[in-house]
Amino acid sequence: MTDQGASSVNGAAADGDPQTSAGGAEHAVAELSLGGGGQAFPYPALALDPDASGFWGWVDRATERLTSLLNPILVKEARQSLKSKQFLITFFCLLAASCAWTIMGIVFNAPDVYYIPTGESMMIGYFMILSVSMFAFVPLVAFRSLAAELDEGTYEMLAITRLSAWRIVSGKMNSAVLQMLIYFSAIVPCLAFCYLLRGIGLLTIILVVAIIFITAMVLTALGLVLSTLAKGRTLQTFLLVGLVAFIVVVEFTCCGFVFSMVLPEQWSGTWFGFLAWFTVAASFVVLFVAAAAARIAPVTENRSTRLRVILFFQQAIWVVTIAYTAWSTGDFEWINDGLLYLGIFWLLVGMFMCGEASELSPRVRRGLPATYGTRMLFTWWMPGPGTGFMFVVATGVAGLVVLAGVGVFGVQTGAVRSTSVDTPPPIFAAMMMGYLLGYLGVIRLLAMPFLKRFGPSFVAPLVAAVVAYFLGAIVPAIIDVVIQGRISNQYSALHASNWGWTWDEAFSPRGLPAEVAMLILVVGAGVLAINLVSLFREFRLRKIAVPLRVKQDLADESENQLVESGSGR
Amino acid sequence: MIELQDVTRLFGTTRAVNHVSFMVPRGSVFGYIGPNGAGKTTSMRILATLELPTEGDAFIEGLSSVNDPDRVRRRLGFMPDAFGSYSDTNCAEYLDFFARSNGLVGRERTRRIRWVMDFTGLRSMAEKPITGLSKGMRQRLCLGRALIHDPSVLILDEPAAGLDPRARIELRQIIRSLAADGKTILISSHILSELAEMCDRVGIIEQGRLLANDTVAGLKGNSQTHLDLIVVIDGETETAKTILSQWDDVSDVVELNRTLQFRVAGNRQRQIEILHRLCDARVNVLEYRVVDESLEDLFLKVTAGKVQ
Repeated sequence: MTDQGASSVNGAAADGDPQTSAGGAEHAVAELSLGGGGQAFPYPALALDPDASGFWGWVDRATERLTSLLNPILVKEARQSLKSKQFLITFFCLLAASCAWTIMGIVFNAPDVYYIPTGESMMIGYFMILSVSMFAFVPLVAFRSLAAELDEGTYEMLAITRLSAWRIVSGKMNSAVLQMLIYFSAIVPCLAFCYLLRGIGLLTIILVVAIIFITAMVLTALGLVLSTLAKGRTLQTFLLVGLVAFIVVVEFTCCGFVFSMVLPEQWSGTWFGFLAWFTVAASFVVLFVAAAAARIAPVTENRSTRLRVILFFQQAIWVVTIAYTAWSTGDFEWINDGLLYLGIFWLLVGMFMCGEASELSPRVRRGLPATYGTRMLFTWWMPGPGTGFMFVVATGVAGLVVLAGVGVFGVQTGAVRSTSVDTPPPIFAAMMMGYLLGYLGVIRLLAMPFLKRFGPSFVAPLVAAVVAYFLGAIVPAIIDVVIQGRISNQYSALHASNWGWTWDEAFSPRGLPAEVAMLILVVGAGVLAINLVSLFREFRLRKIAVPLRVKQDLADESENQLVESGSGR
Repeated sequence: MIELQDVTRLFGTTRAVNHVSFMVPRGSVFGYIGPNGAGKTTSMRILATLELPTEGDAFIEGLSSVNDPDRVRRRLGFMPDAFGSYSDTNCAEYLDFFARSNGLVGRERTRRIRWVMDFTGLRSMAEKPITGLSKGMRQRLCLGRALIHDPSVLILDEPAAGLDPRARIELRQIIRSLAADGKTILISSHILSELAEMCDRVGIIEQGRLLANDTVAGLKGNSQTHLDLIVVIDGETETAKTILSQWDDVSDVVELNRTLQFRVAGNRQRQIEILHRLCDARVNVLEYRVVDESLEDLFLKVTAGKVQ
């Protein structure tokens, strides 16, 4: 070894540098290599030379320390994407489109542009340019990036490093956000120009940009979840087409919202209202990222508890958002809308949870609650289809009760007044609770034999859900035809299993009869009771001891940490 | 230390690995031999925490790769047979990324990358995009990636594939040096002559079952049913040939110049006995030796008809 780089390794080891000499292999095989060699240092591709002295050496080391704090995936993806043709083309197109729109706007508005505020009309174009590049490209790049890792075997190389599944997916998400920021930075001068043209407030511009950002983040996180579902090129193509279709719908919806609600009204509403809705959207970003991470994490890991915690907080955010919106608008309908979406949300989430593996790995069992009190409180947060069912039922029912309570309190205090609907929140909540207990219970019972036979999967609960919802809607119609010879056009207790009609009835001026809501709740409670019988096996699982070798390893780790902190590393 | 404990892996109804158990002590090199589809890669992937066994468990340094994969990964360098590359990335960035992913920070990371580049001979390729590398260069980079965090256990699946003869010889030396440095190495290869020279023990697997697990010398001893001997005679070979032909345990006597090659039933212990008998029969022996069996011969012998 005659080169500078190699001699610095040997030199450091000889000097007793603990970091270098710790890598004993370096010392022993320093004289061997797989040929090659070639030019002397520097390693230009690495850019950093930690042994350099002087100011620039200090800058190198400071930069090094800073980048060490970043997610490695973010660093890699940033390097990759800044060199990629796709990024360069998109960035160039965005710049070109912004310039073109600016020139066109001035030409078409001249000479009025000197006298009349035209910022609002210019903002429409900039919104379109920024939203198309952020909605269309960033989520698709994120989808392709993770799908390619899983497809081409590079994910396995990542999986055997220290990176957890969460860090891998959040790294992908971070790099998507970085791309968004770069696109945004390209259009900032245009937005400043827009403000100077007058006719649009700074707050409105900030709000529009925030809407674009949060929507693009939700779409990107959704893209990441979908990419983990795609096993094989065919399914990947279908999911990609589905994502593109969804993006188109979102683009139009977002355009409609911004053009009709934000831009013309010179929005000056409550920041808390928008903040609450942004928080709901952000909670979905976190949920999707966590779901994607859970999908790619090893099956022996606890892949469920983190998701349950997020879902719990998501419900809290939802309840606060709906309560605030109903309170601030004085509109009773918000409560029932909130109850409906909360019920549907838990039905959907519960369906996925029913597909979890019922066998817990020894690794997960080490983390089970041990004492009677903690078992009472935290068993529901542990993985498993039974605990998942109970978690959804308990949390969902609690959320529905709280939200209905807010409605009742609002009516009593006069803060919320009834407008177009006649179903009081407690009746609506009882109906949603009944559906949650009943349908989710039936889905679980239908899916259980298939899960036992074919192992954990969300396909069996999904199929069971489709069957249950279809039968629930069609059976009353069949009974109608058998009894009356035609489908009844009058809603009655017989149609209680028809969720669509029941919801329609609940939102109609007639309102849902209280006795029907109670009937649905009682039937749901009956289905829950049947389910409880098969749940006990999961609750009997006990915590197991951490193996001695792992304890030893933990002790070694903390000892090393002490040594490192002692040496002031 | 590497240990497989009664590991079985089913893919549908196919048993890719069938109750395989073996142990590789610290600082030794274990060669894993088997035809394509024998279960080598699957068992290596189980050890590397990338696959879960249907039954049994795998251990690295006493830690279960099933239940403590995160702890196992810190100690493990895995070089798979397929190389996963990234577009728009050069060699230095690639190694830097894996160094970061393995928790290396600051000077330690930069030093480690430099060392790996020197070690694998990739320094002149530092700025070259990895998609443009030759097969051999990719193998070097892949080995570098496995070594970047200085793991105590190395699992190398076909590391010599695509390397030129010179690089293969160097790889052999490097593996021996790594083992001498205390690293435990599990290596699979189709080039059996190379494994014979670098491995302390060899495991032969076919159709998911481990058929043999021993040192190369031990395998030769255990599997021998006959010896092929060569005798160089001083003088008339015809007499010696006649004498040999009369013995019941000797067969296939072939004469070439003043050399006789023949087969004797039994193992190496018969070698001395045959020499004594030749001397007693007053045959003038100038040179006497056993024709050594190669690992290829052993492999064919061990696998032939055992699992069908």
